Amino acid sequence: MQQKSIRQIVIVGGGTAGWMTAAALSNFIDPKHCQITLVESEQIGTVGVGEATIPHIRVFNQMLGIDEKDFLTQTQATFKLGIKFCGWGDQGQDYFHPFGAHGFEIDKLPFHQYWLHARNQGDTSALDDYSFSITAAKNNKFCFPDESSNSIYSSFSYAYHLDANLYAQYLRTYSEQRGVKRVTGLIAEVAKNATDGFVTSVILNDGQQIKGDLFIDCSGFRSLLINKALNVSFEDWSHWLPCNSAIAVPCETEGEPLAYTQSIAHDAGWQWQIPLQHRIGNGHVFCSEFMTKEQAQDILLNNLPAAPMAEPKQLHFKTGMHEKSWSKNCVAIGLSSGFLEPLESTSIYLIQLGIYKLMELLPDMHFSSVDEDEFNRVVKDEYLKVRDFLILHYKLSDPNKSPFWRYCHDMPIPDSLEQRMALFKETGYFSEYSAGLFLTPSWLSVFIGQGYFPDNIDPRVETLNFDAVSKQLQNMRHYLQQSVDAIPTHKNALNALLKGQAHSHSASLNLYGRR
Amino acid sequence: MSHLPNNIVVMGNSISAWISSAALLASVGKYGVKVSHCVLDEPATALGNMSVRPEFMDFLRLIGMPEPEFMRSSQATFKLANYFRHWNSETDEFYHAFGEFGTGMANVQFSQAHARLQQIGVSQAVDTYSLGAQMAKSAKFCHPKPDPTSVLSSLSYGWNIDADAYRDSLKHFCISRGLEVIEDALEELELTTSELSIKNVALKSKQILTADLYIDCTEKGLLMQALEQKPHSWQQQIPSCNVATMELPFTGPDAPLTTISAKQDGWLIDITTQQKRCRQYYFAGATAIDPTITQDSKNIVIRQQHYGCMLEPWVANCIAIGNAALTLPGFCVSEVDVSWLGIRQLIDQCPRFPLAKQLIREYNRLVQQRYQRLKDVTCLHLHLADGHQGLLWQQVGQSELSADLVHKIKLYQSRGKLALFDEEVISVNEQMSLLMGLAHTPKQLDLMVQQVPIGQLQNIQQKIEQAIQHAAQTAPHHAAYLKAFCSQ
Repeated sequence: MQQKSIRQIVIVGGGTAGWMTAAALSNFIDPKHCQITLVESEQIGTVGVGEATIPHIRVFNQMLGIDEKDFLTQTQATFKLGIKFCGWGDQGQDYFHPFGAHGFEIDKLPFHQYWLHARNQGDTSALDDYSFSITAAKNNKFCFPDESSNSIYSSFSYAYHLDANLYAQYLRTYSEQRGVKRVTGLIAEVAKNATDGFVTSVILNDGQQIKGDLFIDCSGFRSLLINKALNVSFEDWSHWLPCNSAIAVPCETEGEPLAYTQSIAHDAGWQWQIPLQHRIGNGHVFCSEFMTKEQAQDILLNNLPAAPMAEPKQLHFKTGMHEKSWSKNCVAIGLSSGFLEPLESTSIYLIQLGIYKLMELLPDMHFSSVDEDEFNRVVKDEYLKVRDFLILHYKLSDPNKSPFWRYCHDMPIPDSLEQRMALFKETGYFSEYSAGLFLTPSWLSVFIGQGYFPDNIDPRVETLNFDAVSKQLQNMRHYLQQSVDAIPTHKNALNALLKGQAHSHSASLNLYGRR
Repeated sequence: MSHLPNNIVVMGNSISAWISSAALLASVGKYGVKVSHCVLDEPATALGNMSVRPEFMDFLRLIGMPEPEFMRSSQATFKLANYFRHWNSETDEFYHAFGEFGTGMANVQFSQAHARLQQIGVSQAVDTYSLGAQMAKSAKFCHPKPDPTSVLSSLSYGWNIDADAYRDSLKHFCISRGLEVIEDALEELELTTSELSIKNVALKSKQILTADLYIDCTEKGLLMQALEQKPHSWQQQIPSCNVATMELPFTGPDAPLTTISAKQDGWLIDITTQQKRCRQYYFAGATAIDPTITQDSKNIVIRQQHYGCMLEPWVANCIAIGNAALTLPGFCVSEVDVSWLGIRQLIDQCPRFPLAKQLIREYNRLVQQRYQRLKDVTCLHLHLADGHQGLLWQQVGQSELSADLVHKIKLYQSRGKLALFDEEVISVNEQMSLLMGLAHTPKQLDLMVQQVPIGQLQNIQQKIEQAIQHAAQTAPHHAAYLKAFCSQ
């Protein structure tokens, strides 16, 4: 079969997903081979997802050859070492989910088994005390991770808090410099081939017709192509992740920016606080069945760390994903593919996943079904794993906080999650995913942070002398604290980078550093 | 509160049994668990030579056996690759190495660049770009270097061992470390009545063995049978066949590889260790053995082999390890590898009492998935063979492939990409180079690779080839290196 390359790619939607896709494709596709056109409307606001990110974004930026100093300057970004979950824990306690591991393996057995053993013996140190990321975050310190796997400074990774609209603008400039054609207008109609149902063009309300071979649906919640034009059905997960609304408002900065995102539990949802250089992003994610918009807005405005800078904006969403993210000659990336609430800052990561997989499987004009199958298999697998991890936060919540949390606590959960929880509860053992974003350090953070302790631990650890274990743990804490004391504050580290006095090393697709 | 089992009894005289005992002794034994070994009166089946994968190094580290000692005691030679002969009509011979092949070229995957250059006829076979393959081809060997900038870091290796010698050696090793060994015959297994589990094992000598946990390493899975467990047959995917094992005249340790040759009526696996050359011939029961295959051979033993696995290798207080849990033709894993896979997972999870139901469920889920992946890679080897008409090959041609494997093959043939599933045992590199070496060139190449000028790709590929040729030429001869290493 003669290979016939696609010649025209049309991206529908110009938010974070649209411009990230445009930037990535324009970085490796020569416009002589294939024209990329992005259609967006200034009348439709963007959701501006993902102001808080995870470390994978650094790999994306590095792939595009983006200079970190330039990026931080243009997007008003700050560094992020993890998320602080305020009021989510056991009896309303706070806990951190860091971009890094807890402690060090001892005698080839997992650290957390030793910590659990010590705790059972009356040791009062917190799991957080053994994480470099958390210790640095609590002290508002920051440094770039080291590349040497022997160093304590390689035991963590970092991401950014950024202004998603500025990031989209930044990537727009990047993309247009590489030949991406931007067309503005509202899409009035999607034309399809009568025989095979493939999308042939999108028609704008001014009558302009934009033809393409491959269409990428970055239209956000509207899912203009994948759902409205191609009728791919939506799998609703809102019975597991019941929040369906959010109110967002920026506020002024106050003091030095924190090196972590905050997620603050409220009666029917939670509030985010994302510190940027020029403002703090805030939002209240809630379930409208348990709280009115007015109540949610009051809670948000009463809990802002500083004065609001704009009128609050409301969003509605439904958690779930389309049965297929790729159908015929249309690939949905970002919110048009599926929506998972921003509790773990996964929105940009899921966009990235779609982009990487699309780049790997960029079709030719024959549109082999095996490409479609592979894309859908991999994307769905990751969405399911992230979904389970998000549900865990709700399932482990304190049922006495409010009717909403009672519902979350009592709701049935997917079998895949039920089995992971049961295994940990019975044994303290983690079965690692072969491929997946959230691995043991993340699951451990949430389990322990939310008071879900195993009934048993690894019996090998229980045979060890407690005093010796206790001494090792004490040394570990001391070493971590000393290592954190030696690094600069977050603000100083940020300023050093912005002045060109510091730089980071290459990033990796790992949430927890290289150690 | 759960605790470690007080005692574990390993049953059997297979190589799996001794691997299990040694591993348990070194892992839970040091925490006070009593590990005993009941040999039973099973005749010690002559195992001949076996290939062992690189992951077995972790076992050696666990039990504290230095590599030279392991190699002396098992009469091992090094193994860098499988050498396929007459496997399919497109590739008459092909070296499939454990290590890496190629390297990224101008920001495109090596496999894509190689396919593009192959399309226009300016690329060699993929094994040209694998140091492991080239060293295997020229009978050279040296250990990999950790320095990632060195071409020697691309090497990975396993061993070809005399499994009988190693079984004996492991037995002595275990005894020297205090393992209680009972040599007796099985009289009866008494089961508990409340739930199906083993209460005790009565031996002919009237001795009664009682343990918290039993490891079934018997050839026929006697304990699992008693627990009413039957292996799930893979007859539909991998036809049952006869396997003739024989010893061939020894001419000295040759290249660090295993030779796998397709014949009209089946296939041969030839493995040479330090003092023995063994052959396994897989053929359909209804066909006679071609006399050229057994020429000059001795000690020929023929047995019928069925392939399959235990769907639940851990039942109540009994865990099947090795052949009692999984049987496959030896393309990518041997009994040694399968044993280590099973016992390693058990050690990682740590067996405990009272029996942890979720832990057992998870063990079975993980191990079962890995068995399925190994079966798929085995089927992949068979599926990629062509040009042979004998009965066994006809049966292979009629066999069914799993949906995952069909997808994997389709994706490679279409795009030259590898679909990876959960719990793969065989590395990405190995699977990809196998597909590249034995499958057809993919129909469609990435747009990225099409944009890179051919000259640039050719230039990089030439440099890779030169670096590999130079490293292979300057490496020591396998026989000399082996001799020096084993005398350490």
